[in-house]
Amino acid sequence: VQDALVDARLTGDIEDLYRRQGERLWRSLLAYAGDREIASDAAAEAFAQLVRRGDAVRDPERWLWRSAFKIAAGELKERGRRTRVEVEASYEMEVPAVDLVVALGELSDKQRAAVVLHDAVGYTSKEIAAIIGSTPAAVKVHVARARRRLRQRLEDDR
Amino acid sequence: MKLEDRFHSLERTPAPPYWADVVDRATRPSVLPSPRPRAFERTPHRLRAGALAAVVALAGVGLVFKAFEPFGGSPPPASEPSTDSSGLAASPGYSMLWLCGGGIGSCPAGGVPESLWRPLRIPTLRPDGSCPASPAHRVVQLFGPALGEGPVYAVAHEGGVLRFEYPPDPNSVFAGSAWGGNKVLWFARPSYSGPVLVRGAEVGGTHEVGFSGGTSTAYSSLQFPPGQGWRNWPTATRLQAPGCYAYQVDGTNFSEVIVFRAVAVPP
Repeated sequence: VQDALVDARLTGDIEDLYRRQGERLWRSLLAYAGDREIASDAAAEAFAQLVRRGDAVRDPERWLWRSAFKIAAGELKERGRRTRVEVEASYEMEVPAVDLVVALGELSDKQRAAVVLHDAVGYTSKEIAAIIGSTPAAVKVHVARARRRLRQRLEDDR
Repeated sequence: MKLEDRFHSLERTPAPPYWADVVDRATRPSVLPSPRPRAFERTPHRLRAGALAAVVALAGVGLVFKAFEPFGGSPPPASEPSTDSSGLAASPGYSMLWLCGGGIGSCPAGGVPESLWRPLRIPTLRPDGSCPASPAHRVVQLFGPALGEGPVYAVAHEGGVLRFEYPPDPNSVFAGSAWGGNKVLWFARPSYSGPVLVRGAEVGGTHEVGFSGGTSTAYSSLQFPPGQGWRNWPTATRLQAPGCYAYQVDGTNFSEVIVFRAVAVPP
């Protein structure tokens, strides 16, 4: 039983997944949540839960992304806000990226998750639907509306 | 600027490394309520059901606590020293650790050299009776605010106060022990690659400080093996009473004292 939960080989696989996707997941969560702390917390917790569940998870990558976004969504809901973006322009984050994250904060949860997963990560509508619990058709609508609103908000984009 | 270019600029934002946090979360049971329990409740229903089924299955074979034991390093002794009494077990050396410095692998045999077992230098309370607690400060982005002047640090709990359940919750990994406790993550700067010995005692009192690395057994010291890079060790500090306490951290070329306050909370 212990081996099933904490198998070192399995953990090695997840560590490899972290190396391949850890940074991208964190940045996506930062774009989605607008908060470094939530991004770090959600990413680390999702990976940790993946390690604990071991080989009970059939598709670790999809499970990871879905869980991380759900954890981040739960955090946002608990804090009752998404409008106050915590990121600031710095040597670590360029101004266009900060503006984007701020603008993302004005979208609905589903629109924001959909456009981040589509445009920042490159997932298909079908894959995004599985992650955010929607349908591919609805995801396409979310992405289109999100892009339109982002372009309106970021005036110099035209 | 085009929208896609803004997304590209987002990709240039450096992400902090957080694998050490993943390992810490994955390998260590929460002995206190999670600071954000609702976030965990929002995981998919299917996952919650799966987790519940796993717990039930584990309980059924009486291996709940086994599941929380190390997945790296040497296994604990077949018959662990009991800590049902108030005594602390002698540290078995490096083998009590869950993980050796953040990597997942075997701990070396043995323990720290004799030269690290220096006399304890526990400070005294201030004249007004207050605790001269060490301030928490950010050492590196990889870890949270920490206590100590280095090169070895203890990640601070909220407000620099270590809260521990006493008596231990029967559902915690410390169940059955006379020692409560809470997790403490230790880390070392790359500038120091040698062995580390951590001991502790109450400041202005006679209570002892225990340590553990994954089981309910409370040991009298922590021993970290040599290694390279930013090393970290998930551990637990074990206590029996609230108060002001001090760690003494000894390495081959340094000896530092870290003072912290501890508060007992009911299970």
